[in-house]
Amino acid sequence: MKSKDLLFKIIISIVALAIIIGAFFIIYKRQESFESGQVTIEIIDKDNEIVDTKNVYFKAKETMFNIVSKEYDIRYEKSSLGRFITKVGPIEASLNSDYFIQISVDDKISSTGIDGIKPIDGMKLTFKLVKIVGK
Amino acid sequence: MMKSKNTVKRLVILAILTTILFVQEQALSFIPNVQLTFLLLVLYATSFTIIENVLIIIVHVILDNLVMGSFNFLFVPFMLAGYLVIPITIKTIFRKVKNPLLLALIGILYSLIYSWMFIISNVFMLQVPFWTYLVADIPFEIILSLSSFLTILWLYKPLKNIIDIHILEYNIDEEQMEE
Repeated sequence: MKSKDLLFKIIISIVALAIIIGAFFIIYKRQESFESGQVTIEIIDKDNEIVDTKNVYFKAKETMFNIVSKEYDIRYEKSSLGRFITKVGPIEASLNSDYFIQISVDDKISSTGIDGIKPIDGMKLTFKLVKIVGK
Repeated sequence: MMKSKNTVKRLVILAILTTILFVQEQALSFIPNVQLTFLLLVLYATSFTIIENVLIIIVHVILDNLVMGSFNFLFVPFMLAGYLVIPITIKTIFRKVKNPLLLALIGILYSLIYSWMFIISNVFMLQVPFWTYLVADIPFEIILSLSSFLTILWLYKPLKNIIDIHILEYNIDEEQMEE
């Protein structure tokens, strides 16, 4: 009976580990463009004004981070969740400041950081300086 | 005199356990959502009184938010609530649960409750749409839940034995004191 319990524990542990690895794969999957194209990068400051807009061309197999960093002075903090952007061109928000840089894709707030965005031809990428409510 | 000595001993044990809770979380912070926090909180909840658990959790939450720079009134109460669910339910509705497999399954529930607590604060603080946050959080919730499940499943029993031996020693001291 005891060895049966142990076997059961080992099997469910292997299944759980496989699911954890799968979740890590989703989080850290490198998002590269399939083909060349163009993205529009827009930067909005804390007063909700567009301070810069650029159309940037990219080649196949490029990441969004590479595309943005070619055009703008970009700074970031590396965390276990990926790159956390703290500066893009004229807007800046350090980790402990009252602001953060919100990323939107085609005017919808992105569900991932910059490393999780796959460049697609015609895409609009917006960086907006947003105040953290409650800080 | 002896009673105060035992109170001090108990306080020292609680301080050490709080330190272990905090340090392991910081040490494992390079892997997202992989931690021993839920294992330790379940372990402490089954071994110590509710007041002692509340004290451990309050100190941990204050330290964690001070170090991580997230100390604000929209974040701390939700984190506190997410952790306090553990001793409250273990001392009440789950008080008869001793089986590590059942505790590990309850650990999944605690991890999900803890993750969902932050939906409220993050949606409000970061102005992220509810569904966007919920979808983005799913892989992280899976990692947190299953890492809690695995650690409770494999480590709860041996660690509980270690804590019980210490508590047992404490009781022997008390009995000797009464004699």
